[in-house]
Amino acid sequence: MRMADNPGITVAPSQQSTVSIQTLNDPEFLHILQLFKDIIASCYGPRGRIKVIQNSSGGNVTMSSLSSVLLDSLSISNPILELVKSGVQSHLSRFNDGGLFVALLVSTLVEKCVQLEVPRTVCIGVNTNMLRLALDYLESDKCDCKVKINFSDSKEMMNLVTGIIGSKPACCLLPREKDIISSLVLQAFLTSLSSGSKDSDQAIIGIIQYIKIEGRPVTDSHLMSGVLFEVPHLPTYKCCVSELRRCNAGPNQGLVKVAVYNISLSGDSDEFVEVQYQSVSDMSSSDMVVHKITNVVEDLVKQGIGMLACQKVIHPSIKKYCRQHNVLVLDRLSLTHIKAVQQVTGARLLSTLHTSISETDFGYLSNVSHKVIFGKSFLHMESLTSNVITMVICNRTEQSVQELKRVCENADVILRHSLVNPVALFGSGITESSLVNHLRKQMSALVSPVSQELHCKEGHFITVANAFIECLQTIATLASPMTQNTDDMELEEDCQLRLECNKLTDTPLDCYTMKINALKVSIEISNVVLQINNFIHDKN
Amino acid sequence: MTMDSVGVDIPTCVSICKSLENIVKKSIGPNALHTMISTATGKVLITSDGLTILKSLHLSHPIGRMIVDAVTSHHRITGNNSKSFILLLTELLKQIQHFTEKSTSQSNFIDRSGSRQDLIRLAHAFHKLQIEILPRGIVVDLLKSSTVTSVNQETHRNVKTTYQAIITTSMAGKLNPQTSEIFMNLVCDFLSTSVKETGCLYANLMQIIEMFEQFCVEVVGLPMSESRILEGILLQQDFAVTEDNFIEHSDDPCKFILVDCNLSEFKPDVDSTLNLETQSQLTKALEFKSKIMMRFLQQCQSQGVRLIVSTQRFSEMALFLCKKFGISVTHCAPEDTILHLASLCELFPIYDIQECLTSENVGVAKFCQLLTLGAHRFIHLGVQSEKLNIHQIVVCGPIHGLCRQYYNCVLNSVKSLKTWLQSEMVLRDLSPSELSIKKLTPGKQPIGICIPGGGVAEFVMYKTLQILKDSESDAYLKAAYSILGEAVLSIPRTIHENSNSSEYKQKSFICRLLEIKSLWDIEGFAMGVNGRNGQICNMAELGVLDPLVSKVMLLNDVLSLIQQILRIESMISVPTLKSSQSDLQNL
Repeated sequence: MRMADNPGITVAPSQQSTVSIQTLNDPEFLHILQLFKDIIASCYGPRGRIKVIQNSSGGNVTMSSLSSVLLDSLSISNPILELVKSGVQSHLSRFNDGGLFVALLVSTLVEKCVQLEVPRTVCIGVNTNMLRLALDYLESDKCDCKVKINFSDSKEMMNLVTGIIGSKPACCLLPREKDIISSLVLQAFLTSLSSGSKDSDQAIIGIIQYIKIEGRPVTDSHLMSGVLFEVPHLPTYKCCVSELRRCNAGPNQGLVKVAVYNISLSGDSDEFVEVQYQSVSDMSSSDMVVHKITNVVEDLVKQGIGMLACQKVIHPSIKKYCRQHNVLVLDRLSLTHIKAVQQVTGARLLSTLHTSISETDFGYLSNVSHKVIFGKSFLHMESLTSNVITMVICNRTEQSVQELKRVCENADVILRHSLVNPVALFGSGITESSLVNHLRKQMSALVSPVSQELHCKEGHFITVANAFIECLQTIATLASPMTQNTDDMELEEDCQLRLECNKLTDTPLDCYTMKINALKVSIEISNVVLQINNFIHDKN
Repeated sequence: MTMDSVGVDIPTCVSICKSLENIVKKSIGPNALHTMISTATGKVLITSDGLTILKSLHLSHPIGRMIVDAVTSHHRITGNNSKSFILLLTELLKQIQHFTEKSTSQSNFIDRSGSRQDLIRLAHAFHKLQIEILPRGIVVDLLKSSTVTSVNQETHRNVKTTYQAIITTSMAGKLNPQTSEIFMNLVCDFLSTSVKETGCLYANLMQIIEMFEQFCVEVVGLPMSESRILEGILLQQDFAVTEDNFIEHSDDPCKFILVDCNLSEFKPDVDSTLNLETQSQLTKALEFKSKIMMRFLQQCQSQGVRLIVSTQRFSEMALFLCKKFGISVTHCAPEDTILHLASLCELFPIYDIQECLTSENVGVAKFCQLLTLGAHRFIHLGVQSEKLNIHQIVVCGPIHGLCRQYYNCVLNSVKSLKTWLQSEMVLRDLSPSELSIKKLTPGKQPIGICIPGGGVAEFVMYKTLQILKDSESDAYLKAAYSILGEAVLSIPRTIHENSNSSEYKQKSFICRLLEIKSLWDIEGFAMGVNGRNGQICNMAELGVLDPLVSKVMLLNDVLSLIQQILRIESMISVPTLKSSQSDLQNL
């Protein structure tokens, strides 16, 4: 807003914000929204296509059809799309899946409602009511597109995983490879789950680590129990880890005892009192600390450890001492690996040199070996009790292996959510079609009460409600595996037929909690966008 | 460079106000549309809150700034009405402009000093109106249409229904109906579970508003429908370490201490140098920290402490030792949280770990659990207090901007309740006979006064001012009555304009006004404009209630500002001085 046209008043050079009114009906905005919708829609469903993203100065090429990747790399300047984007991202931060669905539903719904000749507050009211109707249906027992997940039914579990892996073209998977990856993901999830403690009824969910190998066929992907830690300094032509010291008595007989530190063992210490020091003779603090460390390590060796792992650096003399005593030393594990090592060994992270180390602070490994996998050296740590699984993912190109890893991670997150609420909805647009069907039937009952509640014309209600249903219809069409040219009615009939005949054994499944959240978030975001009248850009 | 003097005339002020009005006008009433504010850093906020919008404009015109400042100070107390403020001010200025134009044309004044005199006299008239008429005549008439609720344990039910209506009204313009219903229930539940004694409602509200950020937690990334009330308080950090069997003990009472110092850093207050002579002294220096810390943790252990809440970051060593002693730790807590916890549980935080730990340092929580909401993890601590049943409102929203909107909305509704109970502010000037209209006695019984919304208060003022105008002989006072009378109608007019049903839109506001006037004799002063459909109805029955105090304060504050504006003669702009030599010479 400028007031400069009032003569003689100096406008301060800083600050004033720009104001624009009625941005939603602006053709430019509609164009941007349309563009955004097209990008999202073309990624969605089994016929979704890959997007290649590169910045204008020719940087790294990213290939993906995942909403998380797309939204991260699209730099959006329009504030409303920015709003939509952050809404999608907040949904993804919880579920890692269904981002495209949210983005698509929001953009189609907003586009439709803006173009209607209906007051926006009415649109918002109708959308909320339609959402309630849809949620009531999905939550009710009458909903026939809902299934209870049976964790012992591998077929059903596979459908849940294929629901995520199936529609990601950037992974470049052949049908057989899809099955392999899906079963690996499922296997990894179930293994990490089942190895929790046996006496309590609480399931402890383990960690799944991913190792990416590019240039190998997908069929080479496999699972390994325990942790793989890349050690480039070990040669690939020779097995370098000799037999380690193992416990020779007690309950842990035959296992390798491990101590894990997360402080530096190289001679520096932040445990000194923070004052200046002055000494008469030539005393060195680092020598003193190394001496202290040596004492501690000597004690550890006496207690029978077979491996010493450290997040930071270990002093060479300590390493040498350990090697002489047949103790494997692993340092510079960094924050990324220390968690997995701690988990696989079950050790407590040691952070000081000044306490006695009790028996409970140690961890145990059943085996440590040097493995060469496709030309790379790895240290393989296995344990009988822990629940850490490593998934070695192979694919032909760097891009595709990257995408495959993301997809596997997403699938794992969804499986974990299903654990909390073991209910799923049919994918491939069947849920949406059945929702459309239900909403169409139930809409008429809502017409007069809702239009009274919203103080609007009945015609307005019907217009908006139809727009809402059309949006779901669009999504159903995109998600359906049938060919593009099928008309909506045919599609719906097909879905209905399949629902009635229970021919859904091969249909991919969607996580129920995710879908409900996606619906709620979409409508909430759409309503917020629809309620915007002015737009102020604060330049400060 | 010379100083610049610019005259300020009413048309300038009107044009500034008009542009402000244009921005906020659509956000008034229950069918409000919102404004989206984005910053250069990419933050987004969606709001219909007048003050937030006005502030985000960063006006550079001095008059504009003056107006925004006045709205800010008004909003700080009432938490509401900032859009009405702008509307009223704009209409007042428009009417004044109209008045001066008319008087200039009548008396054929050519120079502007004549109209300047007019303005000053008008300002005097407004002053008189503000000081004499508003607190007596207008308030008494408003009081007749108001509902008085005495607030004590016996009237508990009545109080609750009234505050429900006030909260709903406060939220109506800021959220869509379905959302506002959810948050209204949330705030009501929060108040009814938190407040132990209805008579203390006002004191409790003050306490809640003062530390509101501690009573209301925002969780980004969940749909709004996940918002809830929780007993105790949530700490916004995860555990840094937990004791070994934490999950099994999470329902048990948990002793905790608050630490506001670094456990593993001992810096002497002055620069010091340690003179080392032997190797063993160096070893001692190295072991000193862990020794002190272990001594402290032993004390904690002997007192049965299971949780340390700290503002400072704990070092790896400190965390390790705590774990070893079976104590859970959460660190990097905001200082406000610690102070809030300390004041609720009447504890002393620990500022130096070399001190002795006493029972006054140790608090007891009913439970201590890990709570996961969306992608965030919180520590849920069941603390208890004498004065209040401690609960928190958890406000969820899918994105940050929305969460903020909901949060502000909840805060403003609580503020609005506070103004409802500040009835003293309007009653203090009334005589006992005037108080007896509502069977009130002078004194300090806790009562809340509210008046139906939807323009009822404005219609009453309009009527009162009309009567006053007709019996007034002084030309300027007469003008002031008439100007204010017309101006207050702008509020119901805008509510009517924003109502969405086209069927009723065909009827203009004038028709509505006539309709209302005709109803005055039959129904009394309870009819207003329903903001949803533009129909005339009984607002009290509809459950639209505003605190009376905020209406009176609004009028009072607008009148103060208008007098100020009328008295402004010119603006002097002082050029910025540059330090370079040439500029100094130019001066």
